[in-house]
Amino acid sequence: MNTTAHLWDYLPILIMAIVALGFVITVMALTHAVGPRRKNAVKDDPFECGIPVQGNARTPFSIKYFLVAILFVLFDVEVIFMYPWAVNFRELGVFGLWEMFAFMGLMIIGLVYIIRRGALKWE
Amino acid sequence: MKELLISSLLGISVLLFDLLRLRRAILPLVAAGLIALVAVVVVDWGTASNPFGNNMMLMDGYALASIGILALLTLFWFAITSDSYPAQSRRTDLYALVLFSMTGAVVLVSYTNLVMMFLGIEILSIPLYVLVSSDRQNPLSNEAGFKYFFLGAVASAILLFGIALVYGATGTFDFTELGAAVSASTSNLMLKAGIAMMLAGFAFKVSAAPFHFWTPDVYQGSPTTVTAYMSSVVKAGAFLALFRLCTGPFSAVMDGFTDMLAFLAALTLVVSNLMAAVQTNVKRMLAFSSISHAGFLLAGVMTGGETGPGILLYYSLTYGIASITSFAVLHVVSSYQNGAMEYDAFRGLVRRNPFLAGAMTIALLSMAGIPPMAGFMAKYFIISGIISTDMVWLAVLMVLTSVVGMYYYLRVIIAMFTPVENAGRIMLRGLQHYTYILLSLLMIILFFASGFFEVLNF
Repeated sequence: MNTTAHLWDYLPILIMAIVALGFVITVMALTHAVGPRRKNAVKDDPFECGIPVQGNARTPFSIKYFLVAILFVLFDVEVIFMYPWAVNFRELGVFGLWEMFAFMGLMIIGLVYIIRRGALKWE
Repeated sequence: MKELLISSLLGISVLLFDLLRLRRAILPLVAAGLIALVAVVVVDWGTASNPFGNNMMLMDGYALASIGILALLTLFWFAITSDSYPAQSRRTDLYALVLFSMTGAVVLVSYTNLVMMFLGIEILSIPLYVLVSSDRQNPLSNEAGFKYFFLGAVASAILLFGIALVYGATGTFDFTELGAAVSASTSNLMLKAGIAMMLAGFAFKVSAAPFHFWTPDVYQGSPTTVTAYMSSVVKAGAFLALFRLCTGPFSAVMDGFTDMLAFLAALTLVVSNLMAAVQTNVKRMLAFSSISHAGFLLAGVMTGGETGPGILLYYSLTYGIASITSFAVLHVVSSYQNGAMEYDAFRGLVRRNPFLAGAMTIALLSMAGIPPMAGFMAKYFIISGIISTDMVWLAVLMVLTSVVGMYYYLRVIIAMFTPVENAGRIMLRGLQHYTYILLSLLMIILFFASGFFEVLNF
Protein backbone atom coordinates (compact mmCIF):
# COMPACT_ATOMS: atom_id res chain seq x y z
CA MET A 1 0.00 0.00 0.00
CA ASN A 2 1.32 3.35 -0.97
CA THR A 3 1.16 5.72 2.00
CA THR A 4 3.43 8.46 0.68
CA ALA A 5 1.74 11.85 0.69
CA HIS A 6 1.91 13.81 -2.54
CA LEU A 7 1.10 17.39 -3.19
CA TRP A 8 -1.69 16.48 -5.61
CA ASP A 9 -3.45 14.67 -2.74
CA TYR A 10 -4.37 18.15 -1.58
CA LEU A 11 -5.92 19.05 -4.94
CA PRO A 12 -9.51 18.68 -3.60
CA ILE A 13 -8.72 21.28 -0.95
CA LEU A 14 -7.46 23.68 -3.60
CA ILE A 15 -10.57 23.09 -5.70
CA MET A 16 -12.75 23.61 -2.61
CA ALA A 17 -10.97 26.90 -1.87
CA ILE A 18 -11.38 28.11 -5.42
CA VAL A 19 -15.07 27.17 -5.43
CA ALA A 20 -15.70 28.90 -2.10
CA LEU A 21 -13.91 32.07 -3.18
CA GLY A 22 -15.53 32.00 -6.60
CA PHE A 23 -19.00 31.60 -5.07
CA VAL A 24 -18.52 34.64 -2.84
CA ILE A 25 -17.14 36.79 -5.68
CA THR A 26 -19.89 35.69 -8.11
CA VAL A 27 -22.71 36.33 -5.65
CA MET A 28 -21.37 39.72 -4.62
CA ALA A 29 -20.81 40.81 -8.20
CA LEU A 30 -24.28 39.56 -9.11
CA THR A 31 -26.07 41.46 -6.35
CA HIS A 32 -24.25 44.66 -7.20
CA ALA A 33 -25.07 44.27 -10.91
CA VAL A 34 -28.67 43.06 -10.66
CA GLY A 35 -30.00 44.69 -7.49
CA PRO A 36 -31.94 47.99 -7.74
CA ARG A 37 -30.53 51.14 -6.06
CA ARG A 38 -32.81 53.48 -4.14
CA LYS A 39 -31.08 56.24 -2.16
CA ASN A 40 -32.63 58.88 0.06
CA ALA A 41 -31.60 60.80 3.18
CA VAL A 42 -33.66 58.72 5.59
CA LYS A 43 -32.31 55.45 4.26
CA ASP A 44 -28.67 56.55 4.49
CA ASP A 45 -29.15 57.55 8.11
CA PRO A 46 -27.52 55.24 10.63
CA PHE A 47 -30.22 53.45 12.59
CA GLU A 48 -29.88 53.00 16.32
CA CYS A 49 -33.08 51.69 17.92
CA GLY A 50 -35.06 54.65 16.65
CA ILE A 51 -33.03 57.17 18.68
CA PRO A 52 -31.85 60.21 16.65
CA VAL A 53 -28.14 60.02 15.87
CA GLN A 54 -25.81 62.30 17.79
CA GLY A 55 -22.39 63.32 16.56
CA ASN A 56 -19.91 61.31 14.55
CA ALA A 57 -19.43 57.60 14.98
CA ARG A 58 -15.72 57.95 14.22
CA THR A 59 -14.64 59.36 17.58
CA PRO A 60 -11.59 57.72 19.08
CA PHE A 61 -12.13 55.98 22.39
CA SER A 62 -9.64 54.13 24.48
CA ILE A 63 -9.89 50.41 24.78
CA LYS A 64 -7.36 49.49 27.43
CA TYR A 65 -5.84 46.69 25.42
CA PHE A 66 -3.01 46.17 27.87
CA LEU A 67 -5.58 45.64 30.60
CA VAL A 68 -7.53 43.18 28.50
CA ALA A 69 -4.28 41.45 27.61
CA ILE A 70 -3.08 41.27 31.20
CA LEU A 71 -6.40 39.91 32.41
CA PHE A 72 -6.31 37.39 29.59
CA VAL A 73 -2.81 36.29 30.60
CA LEU A 74 -3.99 36.00 34.19
CA PHE A 75 -6.76 33.59 33.34
CA ASP A 76 -4.64 31.85 30.75
CA VAL A 77 -2.01 31.03 33.35
CA GLU A 78 -4.73 29.90 35.71
CA VAL A 79 -6.01 27.44 33.12
CA ILE A 80 -2.48 26.27 32.33
CA PHE A 81 -2.22 25.20 35.95
CA MET A 82 -5.59 23.53 35.87
CA TYR A 83 -4.91 21.23 32.90
CA PRO A 84 -2.17 19.11 34.54
CA TRP A 85 -4.20 19.13 37.72
CA ALA A 86 -7.26 17.82 35.88
CA VAL A 87 -5.18 15.09 34.20
CA ASN A 88 -3.76 13.96 37.54
CA PHE A 89 -6.96 14.60 39.50
CA ARG A 90 -7.38 11.03 40.74
CA GLU A 91 -3.76 10.55 41.79
CA LEU A 92 -3.60 13.86 43.64
CA GLY A 93 -6.90 13.18 45.41
CA VAL A 94 -8.16 15.41 48.22
CA PHE A 95 -4.74 17.00 48.67
CA GLY A 96 -4.77 18.21 45.08
CA LEU A 97 -8.30 19.49 45.48
CA TRP A 98 -7.37 21.64 48.45
CA GLU A 99 -4.22 22.85 46.74
CA MET A 100 -6.33 23.96 43.79
CA PHE A 101 -8.79 25.64 46.14
CA ALA A 102 -5.89 27.53 47.73
CA PHE A 103 -4.61 28.56 44.30
CA MET A 104 -8.04 29.68 43.13
CA GLY A 105 -8.58 31.50 46.42
CA LEU A 106 -5.40 33.51 45.93
CA MET A 107 -6.40 34.27 42.34
CA ILE A 108 -9.83 35.44 43.42
CA ILE A 109 -8.41 37.71 46.12
CA GLY A 110 -6.26 39.37 43.48
CA LEU A 111 -9.15 39.59 41.03
CA VAL A 112 -11.57 41.08 43.56
CA TYR A 113 -8.87 43.52 44.60
CA ILE A 114 -8.22 44.86 41.11
CA ILE A 115 -11.95 45.10 40.36
CA ARG A 116 -12.44 47.05 43.59
CA ARG A 117 -9.57 49.29 42.51
CA GLY A 118 -11.55 50.08 39.37
CA ALA A 119 -9.40 48.15 36.93
CA LEU A 120 -12.37 47.39 34.69
CA LYS A 121 -13.66 50.97 34.58
CA TRP A 122 -12.13 52.79 31.70
CA GLU A 123 -13.23 56.24 30.71
CA MET B 1 9.12 26.58 54.01
CA LYS B 2 7.62 28.65 56.83
CA GLU B 3 9.67 31.67 55.81
CA LEU B 4 8.44 31.53 52.23
CA LEU B 5 4.83 31.07 53.35
CA ILE B 6 4.97 33.99 55.77
CA SER B 7 6.49 36.39 53.29
CA SER B 8 4.14 35.54 50.42
CA LEU B 9 1.00 35.37 52.56
CA LEU B 10 1.91 38.73 54.07
CA GLY B 11 1.62 40.41 50.68
CA ILE B 12 -1.73 38.74 50.01
CA SER B 13 -2.99 39.62 53.49
CA VAL B 14 -2.26 43.27 52.73
CA LEU B 15 -4.57 43.05 49.70
CA LEU B 16 -7.17 41.20 51.77
CA PHE B 17 -7.06 43.82 54.53
CA ASP B 18 -7.66 46.49 51.92
CA LEU B 19 -10.67 44.58 50.62
CA LEU B 20 -12.04 44.18 54.13
CA ARG B 21 -11.67 47.94 54.66
CA LEU B 22 -9.08 47.49 57.41
CA ARG B 23 -6.64 49.96 55.88
CA ARG B 24 -5.54 51.32 59.24
CA ALA B 25 -4.45 47.84 60.27
CA ILE B 26 -2.24 47.25 57.23
CA LEU B 27 0.94 48.81 58.65
CA PRO B 28 0.66 47.00 62.00
CA LEU B 29 0.01 43.79 60.06
CA VAL B 30 3.13 44.30 57.92
CA ALA B 31 5.24 45.08 60.96
CA ALA B 32 3.91 42.04 62.82
CA GLY B 33 4.47 39.82 59.79
CA LEU B 34 8.06 40.95 59.25
CA ILE B 35 8.84 40.60 62.97
CA ALA B 36 7.32 37.11 62.82
CA LEU B 37 9.58 36.35 59.87
CA VAL B 38 12.65 37.38 61.87
CA ALA B 39 11.36 35.39 64.85
CA VAL B 40 10.90 32.26 62.72
CA VAL B 41 14.46 32.66 61.44
CA VAL B 42 15.75 32.90 65.02
CA VAL B 43 13.71 29.87 66.15
CA ASP B 44 14.79 27.78 63.14
CA TRP B 45 18.43 28.81 63.48
CA GLY B 46 20.72 25.84 63.88
CA THR B 47 18.04 23.21 63.31
CA ALA B 48 18.57 20.83 60.43
CA SER B 49 16.28 21.56 57.52
CA ASN B 50 15.25 19.41 54.60
CA PRO B 51 14.95 20.55 51.02
CA PHE B 52 11.37 21.02 49.95
CA GLY B 53 9.38 21.33 46.75
CA ASN B 54 11.23 18.51 44.91
CA ASN B 55 14.67 19.79 45.95
CA MET B 56 13.84 23.29 44.76
CA MET B 57 14.71 25.16 47.93
CA LEU B 58 16.64 24.58 51.13
CA MET B 59 16.47 26.76 54.23
CA ASP B 60 20.06 26.26 55.33
CA GLY B 61 21.97 28.55 57.68
CA TYR B 62 22.96 30.92 54.90
CA ALA B 63 19.37 31.20 53.68
CA LEU B 64 18.04 31.78 57.19
CA ALA B 65 20.61 34.48 57.98
CA SER B 66 19.92 36.17 54.64
CA ILE B 67 16.16 36.06 55.14
CA GLY B 68 16.59 37.56 58.59
CA ILE B 69 18.59 40.44 57.17
CA LEU B 70 16.19 40.98 54.25
CA ALA B 71 13.22 41.01 56.63
CA LEU B 72 14.98 43.47 58.94
CA LEU B 73 15.84 45.79 56.05
CA THR B 74 12.25 45.64 54.77
CA LEU B 75 11.00 46.37 58.29
CA PHE B 76 13.30 49.41 58.53
CA TRP B 77 12.09 50.53 55.11
CA PHE B 78 8.46 50.34 56.21
CA ALA B 79 9.24 52.11 59.48
CA ILE B 80 11.06 55.00 57.87
CA THR B 81 8.83 55.55 54.84
CA SER B 82 5.44 54.82 56.39
CA ASP B 83 4.71 58.49 57.05
CA SER B 84 6.10 59.86 53.83
CA TYR B 85 2.99 59.37 51.72
CA PRO B 86 0.01 61.73 51.78
CA ALA B 87 -2.60 60.40 54.16
CA GLN B 88 -5.30 60.05 51.52
CA SER B 89 -3.20 58.16 48.98
CA ARG B 90 -3.69 54.46 48.45
CA ARG B 91 -0.59 52.71 49.64
CA THR B 92 -1.92 49.17 49.57
CA ASP B 93 -0.57 48.50 46.08
CA LEU B 94 2.88 49.77 46.96
CA TYR B 95 3.04 47.81 50.20
CA ALA B 96 1.82 44.60 48.59
CA LEU B 97 4.27 44.97 45.70
CA VAL B 98 7.17 45.60 48.06
CA LEU B 99 6.26 42.48 50.01
CA PHE B 100 5.93 40.40 46.84
CA SER B 101 9.31 41.68 45.72
CA MET B 102 10.76 40.70 49.09
CA THR B 103 9.30 37.22 48.59
CA GLY B 104 11.38 37.04 45.43
CA ALA B 105 14.45 37.91 47.49
CA VAL B 106 13.53 35.15 49.96
CA VAL B 107 13.41 32.68 47.07
CA LEU B 108 16.72 34.04 45.78
CA VAL B 109 18.62 33.29 48.98
CA SER B 110 17.24 29.79 49.49
CA TYR B 111 17.09 28.23 46.02
CA THR B 112 18.84 24.96 45.23
CA ASN B 113 17.73 24.80 41.62
CA LEU B 114 18.48 27.09 38.71
CA VAL B 115 14.80 27.24 37.71
CA MET B 116 13.94 28.50 41.17
CA MET B 117 16.75 31.04 40.90
CA PHE B 118 15.28 32.46 37.72
CA LEU B 119 11.80 32.51 39.24
CA GLY B 120 13.18 34.33 42.25
CA ILE B 121 14.82 36.96 40.06
CA GLU B 122 11.59 37.54 38.18
CA ILE B 123 9.49 37.70 41.37
CA LEU B 124 12.00 40.22 42.67
CA SER B 125 12.01 42.31 39.48
CA ILE B 126 8.43 42.38 38.17
CA PRO B 127 6.93 44.22 41.18
CA LEU B 128 9.86 46.63 40.88
CA TYR B 129 8.96 47.59 37.31
CA VAL B 130 5.58 48.72 38.65
CA LEU B 131 7.03 50.36 41.75
CA VAL B 132 9.58 52.33 39.75
CA SER B 133 6.86 53.85 37.56
CA SER B 134 4.38 54.24 40.43
CA ASP B 135 4.65 58.05 40.35
CA ARG B 136 2.29 58.10 37.40
CA GLN B 137 2.11 61.86 36.86
CA ASN B 138 5.88 62.20 36.66
CA PRO B 139 7.37 61.62 33.17
CA LEU B 140 10.76 60.79 34.72
CA SER B 141 9.19 57.98 36.70
CA ASN B 142 7.52 56.57 33.60
CA GLU B 143 10.78 56.78 31.70
CA ALA B 144 12.56 55.01 34.54
CA GLY B 145 9.96 52.26 34.55
CA PHE B 146 10.31 51.70 30.83
CA LYS B 147 14.10 51.72 30.93
CA TYR B 148 14.19 49.32 33.81
CA PHE B 149 11.62 47.03 32.24
CA PHE B 150 13.22 46.77 28.81
CA LEU B 151 16.80 46.49 30.01
CA GLY B 152 15.72 44.16 32.80
CA ALA B 153 13.98 41.93 30.28
CA VAL B 154 17.13 41.79 28.15
CA ALA B 155 19.21 40.94 31.21
CA SER B 156 16.75 38.22 32.18
CA ALA B 157 17.00 36.81 28.66
CA ILE B 158 20.80 36.74 28.86
CA LEU B 159 20.60 35.08 32.24
CA LEU B 160 18.13 32.54 30.92
CA PHE B 161 20.32 31.80 27.93
CA GLY B 162 23.20 31.25 30.32
CA ILE B 163 21.08 28.83 32.34
CA ALA B 164 20.18 27.02 29.12
CA LEU B 165 23.83 26.65 28.15
CA VAL B 166 24.71 25.36 31.62
CA TYR B 167 21.85 22.90 31.33
CA GLY B 168 23.08 21.87 27.91
CA ALA B 169 26.55 21.20 29.29
CA THR B 170 25.50 19.40 32.46
CA GLY B 171 21.96 18.13 31.86
CA THR B 172 20.62 19.24 35.22
CA PHE B 173 19.26 22.22 37.13
CA ASP B 174 19.69 20.71 40.57
CA PHE B 175 22.51 22.07 42.73
CA THR B 176 23.86 18.76 44.00
CA GLU B 177 23.95 17.14 40.56
CA LEU B 178 25.13 20.40 39.02
CA GLY B 179 28.03 20.65 41.45
CA ALA B 180 29.16 17.12 40.58
CA ALA B 181 28.73 17.68 36.83
CA VAL B 182 30.59 21.00 36.94
CA SER B 183 33.58 19.63 38.80
CA ALA B 184 33.66 16.68 36.37
CA SER B 185 33.82 18.95 33.30
CA THR B 186 35.63 22.11 34.36
CA SER B 187 37.03 22.85 30.90
CA ASN B 188 33.75 22.49 29.02
CA LEU B 189 33.44 25.57 26.81
CA MET B 190 29.63 25.53 26.76
CA LEU B 191 29.56 25.45 30.53
CA LYS B 192 32.00 28.35 30.75
CA ALA B 193 30.00 30.41 28.26
CA GLY B 194 26.83 29.68 30.21
CA ILE B 195 28.37 30.74 33.52
CA ALA B 196 29.78 33.90 31.93
CA MET B 197 26.33 34.81 30.59
CA MET B 198 24.75 34.14 33.96
CA LEU B 199 27.33 36.37 35.61
CA ALA B 200 26.56 39.09 33.04
CA GLY B 201 22.84 38.79 33.81
CA PHE B 202 23.55 39.08 37.51
CA ALA B 203 25.92 41.99 36.92
CA PHE B 204 22.99 43.82 35.37
CA LYS B 205 20.68 43.03 38.27
CA VAL B 206 23.23 44.19 40.84
CA SER B 207 24.18 47.18 38.63
CA ALA B 208 27.89 46.48 38.21
CA ALA B 209 29.76 48.33 35.47
CA PRO B 210 29.62 48.02 32.46
CA PHE B 211 26.02 46.88 32.97
CA HIS B 212 25.15 49.83 35.19
CA PHE B 213 23.81 52.34 32.69
CA TRP B 214 20.19 51.94 33.77
CA THR B 215 20.91 52.55 37.44
CA PRO B 216 21.33 56.35 37.65
CA ASP B 217 18.26 57.06 35.51
CA VAL B 218 16.08 54.50 37.23
CA TYR B 219 17.19 55.44 40.73
CA GLN B 220 16.65 59.11 39.96
CA GLY B 221 13.32 58.69 38.20
CA SER B 222 11.59 56.39 40.64
CA PRO B 223 9.95 57.74 43.80
CA THR B 224 12.66 58.23 46.44
CA THR B 225 11.11 55.71 48.81
CA VAL B 226 11.21 53.08 46.07
CA THR B 227 14.84 53.95 45.39
CA ALA B 228 15.58 53.35 49.06
CA TYR B 229 14.02 49.91 48.77
CA MET B 230 15.85 49.09 45.54
CA SER B 231 19.25 50.08 46.82
CA SER B 232 18.88 48.06 50.01
CA VAL B 233 16.70 44.94 49.87
CA VAL B 234 16.86 44.35 46.13
CA LYS B 235 20.59 44.86 45.92
CA ALA B 236 21.19 42.64 48.95
CA GLY B 237 18.92 39.93 47.56
CA ALA B 238 20.63 39.89 44.17
CA PHE B 239 24.12 39.75 45.69
CA LEU B 240 23.20 37.05 48.18
CA ALA B 241 21.78 35.02 45.28
CA LEU B 242 24.95 35.52 43.24
CA PHE B 243 27.05 34.42 46.22
CA ARG B 244 24.91 31.30 46.70
CA LEU B 245 25.50 30.45 43.05
CA CYS B 246 29.24 31.14 43.01
CA THR B 247 30.07 29.31 46.23
CA GLY B 248 27.57 26.52 45.60
CA PRO B 249 27.43 24.54 42.35
CA PHE B 250 29.95 26.67 40.43
CA SER B 251 32.63 26.75 43.12
CA ALA B 252 34.75 24.24 41.18
CA VAL B 253 35.14 26.53 38.18
CA MET B 254 35.03 29.91 39.93
CA ASP B 255 38.82 30.21 39.85
CA GLY B 256 38.55 30.66 36.10
CA PHE B 257 36.19 33.58 36.54
CA THR B 258 38.12 35.47 39.19
CA ASP B 259 39.73 37.71 36.57
CA MET B 260 36.36 38.52 35.06
CA LEU B 261 34.82 39.37 38.43
CA ALA B 262 37.89 41.36 39.46
CA PHE B 263 37.69 43.33 36.21
CA LEU B 264 33.98 44.01 36.78
CA ALA B 265 34.62 45.09 40.36
CA ALA B 266 37.53 47.36 39.41
CA LEU B 267 35.62 48.97 36.52
CA THR B 268 32.56 49.43 38.73
CA LEU B 269 34.58 51.14 41.45
CA VAL B 270 36.39 53.51 39.10
CA VAL B 271 33.44 54.46 36.89
CA SER B 272 30.92 54.90 39.68
CA ASN B 273 33.13 56.98 41.95
CA LEU B 274 34.32 59.28 39.17
CA MET B 275 30.75 59.73 37.92
CA ALA B 276 29.41 60.32 41.43
CA ALA B 277 31.97 63.05 42.03
CA VAL B 278 30.69 65.18 39.13
CA GLN B 279 26.97 64.94 39.95
CA THR B 280 25.03 67.98 41.12
CA ASN B 281 21.93 66.04 42.09
CA VAL B 282 22.15 64.25 45.42
CA LYS B 283 19.78 61.46 44.36
CA ARG B 284 21.90 60.76 41.29
CA MET B 285 25.04 60.93 43.41
CA LEU B 286 23.55 58.37 45.79
CA ALA B 287 22.68 56.18 42.79
CA PHE B 288 26.30 56.20 41.64
CA SER B 289 27.36 55.61 45.23
CA SER B 290 25.10 52.56 45.21
CA ILE B 291 26.93 51.32 42.10
CA SER B 292 30.27 51.79 43.84
CA HIS B 293 29.04 49.67 46.73
CA ALA B 294 28.11 47.04 44.16
CA GLY B 295 31.82 47.00 43.29
CA PHE B 296 32.69 46.27 46.90
CA LEU B 297 30.04 43.58 47.19
CA LEU B 298 31.28 42.00 43.96
CA ALA B 299 34.72 41.79 45.52
CA GLY B 300 33.05 40.24 48.56
CA VAL B 301 31.51 37.57 46.33
CA MET B 302 34.98 36.82 44.93
CA THR B 303 36.60 36.25 48.30
CA GLY B 304 34.17 33.49 49.28
CA GLY B 305 35.70 31.07 51.75
CA GLU B 306 34.82 30.43 55.37
CA THR B 307 34.08 33.98 56.40
CA GLY B 308 32.67 35.03 53.01
CA PRO B 309 28.95 34.69 53.77
CA GLY B 310 29.23 36.53 57.08
CA ILE B 311 31.13 39.41 55.46
CA LEU B 312 28.66 39.69 52.60
CA LEU B 313 25.69 39.66 55.00
CA TYR B 314 27.37 42.26 57.18
CA TYR B 315 28.06 44.51 54.20
CA SER B 316 24.50 44.09 52.89
CA LEU B 317 23.02 44.95 56.28
CA THR B 318 25.21 47.97 57.00
CA TYR B 319 24.97 49.39 53.50
CA GLY B 320 21.23 48.68 53.42
CA ILE B 321 20.61 50.61 56.62
CA ALA B 322 22.79 53.52 55.53
CA SER B 323 21.13 53.62 52.13
CA ILE B 324 17.57 53.46 53.48
CA THR B 325 18.38 56.26 55.91
CA SER B 326 20.03 58.52 53.36
CA PHE B 327 17.28 58.13 50.75
CA ALA B 328 14.60 58.66 53.43
CA VAL B 329 16.28 61.88 54.56
CA LEU B 330 16.61 62.98 50.95
CA HIS B 331 12.90 62.30 50.46
CA VAL B 332 11.90 64.43 53.44
CA VAL B 333 14.32 67.25 52.59
CA SER B 334 13.33 67.45 48.95
CA SER B 335 9.61 67.36 49.77
CA TYR B 336 10.19 70.58 51.73
CA GLN B 337 12.01 72.18 48.79
CA ASN B 338 9.52 71.58 45.96
CA GLY B 339 11.33 68.40 45.02
CA ALA B 340 14.76 70.00 44.68
CA MET B 341 17.53 67.46 45.14
CA GLU B 342 20.64 69.52 44.55
CA TYR B 343 23.35 69.80 47.17
CA ASP B 344 21.98 73.24 48.06
CA ALA B 345 18.71 71.67 49.22
CA PHE B 346 20.61 70.33 52.22
CA ARG B 347 21.93 73.71 53.32
CA GLY B 348 21.30 74.43 56.96
CA LEU B 349 19.62 71.11 57.60
CA VAL B 350 21.26 70.87 61.00
CA ARG B 351 19.19 73.86 62.11
CA ARG B 352 16.05 72.83 60.30
CA ASN B 353 15.97 69.38 61.83
CA PRO B 354 18.94 68.08 63.82
CA PHE B 355 17.61 64.52 63.82
CA LEU B 356 17.59 64.33 60.05
CA ALA B 357 20.99 65.99 59.77
CA GLY B 358 22.46 63.65 62.37
CA ALA B 359 21.05 60.53 60.75
CA MET B 360 22.19 61.68 57.30
CA THR B 361 25.69 62.45 58.60
CA ILE B 362 26.03 59.04 60.20
CA ALA B 363 24.64 57.29 57.12
CA LEU B 364 26.98 59.10 54.74
CA LEU B 365 30.00 58.56 56.98
CA SER B 366 29.06 54.89 57.19
CA MET B 367 28.91 54.65 53.40
CA ALA B 368 32.22 56.49 53.15
CA GLY B 369 33.74 54.05 55.63
CA ILE B 370 34.72 56.22 58.58
CA PRO B 371 34.99 54.60 62.01
CA PRO B 372 33.08 54.25 64.29
CA MET B 373 30.39 53.66 61.68
CA ALA B 374 29.60 50.13 60.61
CA GLY B 375 30.53 50.87 57.00
CA PHE B 376 34.18 51.01 58.01
CA MET B 377 34.21 47.45 59.29
CA ALA B 378 32.28 46.28 56.22
CA LYS B 379 34.87 47.77 53.89
CA TYR B 380 37.68 46.54 56.12
CA PHE B 381 36.44 42.95 55.98
CA ILE B 382 36.16 42.98 52.21
CA ILE B 383 39.52 44.65 51.60
CA SER B 384 41.29 42.26 53.97
CA GLY B 385 39.54 39.36 52.26
CA ILE B 386 40.74 40.61 48.88
CA ILE B 387 44.30 40.97 50.17
CA SER B 388 44.23 37.39 51.44
CA THR B 389 43.36 36.23 47.92
CA ASP B 390 46.52 37.93 46.59
CA MET B 391 44.82 40.67 44.63
CA VAL B 392 46.55 43.58 46.22
CA TRP B 393 45.99 45.82 43.20
CA LEU B 394 42.23 45.55 43.67
CA ALA B 395 42.55 46.33 47.37
CA VAL B 396 44.62 49.42 46.56
CA LEU B 397 42.03 50.48 44.01
CA MET B 398 39.29 50.06 46.62
CA VAL B 399 41.05 52.31 49.08
CA LEU B 400 41.78 54.93 46.40
CA THR B 401 38.20 55.02 45.15
CA SER B 402 36.96 55.25 48.74
CA VAL B 403 38.97 58.45 49.02
CA VAL B 404 37.13 59.79 45.98
CA GLY B 405 33.94 58.71 47.73
CA MET B 406 34.81 60.88 50.70
CA TYR B 407 34.65 63.93 48.45
CA TYR B 408 31.03 63.59 47.40
CA TYR B 409 29.77 62.32 50.73
CA LEU B 410 31.40 65.20 52.57
CA ARG B 411 29.87 67.71 50.15
CA VAL B 412 26.42 66.83 51.49
CA ILE B 413 27.64 66.97 55.08
CA ILE B 414 29.28 70.37 54.52
CA ALA B 415 26.07 71.65 52.93
CA MET B 416 24.08 70.47 55.94
CA PHE B 417 26.30 72.36 58.34
CA THR B 418 26.40 75.54 56.24
CA PRO B 419 24.24 78.17 57.94
CA VAL B 420 21.33 79.49 55.92
CA GLU B 421 19.01 82.41 56.55
CA ASN B 422 15.31 82.10 57.38
CA ALA B 423 14.90 78.42 56.64
CA GLY B 424 11.78 76.83 58.10
CA ARG B 425 11.98 73.84 60.38
CA ILE B 426 11.24 70.41 59.02
CA MET B 427 8.62 68.53 60.98
CA LEU B 428 8.54 64.77 61.24
CA ARG B 429 5.37 62.89 61.97
CA GLY B 430 4.62 60.17 64.48
CA LEU B 431 7.40 57.76 65.31
CA GLN B 432 9.75 59.04 62.61
CA HIS B 433 12.20 60.60 65.06
CA TYR B 434 12.61 57.30 66.85
CA THR B 435 13.17 55.45 63.59
CA TYR B 436 15.96 57.81 62.60
CA ILE B 437 17.53 57.55 66.05
CA LEU B 438 17.25 53.74 65.99
CA LEU B 439 18.86 53.43 62.55
CA SER B 440 21.63 55.87 63.46
CA LEU B 441 22.37 53.91 66.63
CA LEU B 442 22.33 50.66 64.68
CA MET B 443 24.95 51.97 62.29
CA ILE B 444 27.23 52.57 65.26
CA ILE B 445 26.28 49.45 67.25
CA LEU B 446 26.96 47.25 64.22
CA PHE B 447 30.51 48.57 64.16
CA PHE B 448 31.12 46.99 67.55
CA ALA B 449 29.04 43.90 66.75
CA SER B 450 31.00 43.18 63.57
CA GLY B 451 32.91 40.33 65.21
CA PHE B 452 29.68 38.38 65.42
CA PHE B 453 29.31 38.40 61.65
CA GLU B 454 32.93 37.52 61.05
CA VAL B 455 32.61 34.29 62.95
CA LEU B 456 29.19 33.51 61.50
CA ASN B 457 29.59 30.02 60.19
CA PHE B 458 27.27 27.90 58.14
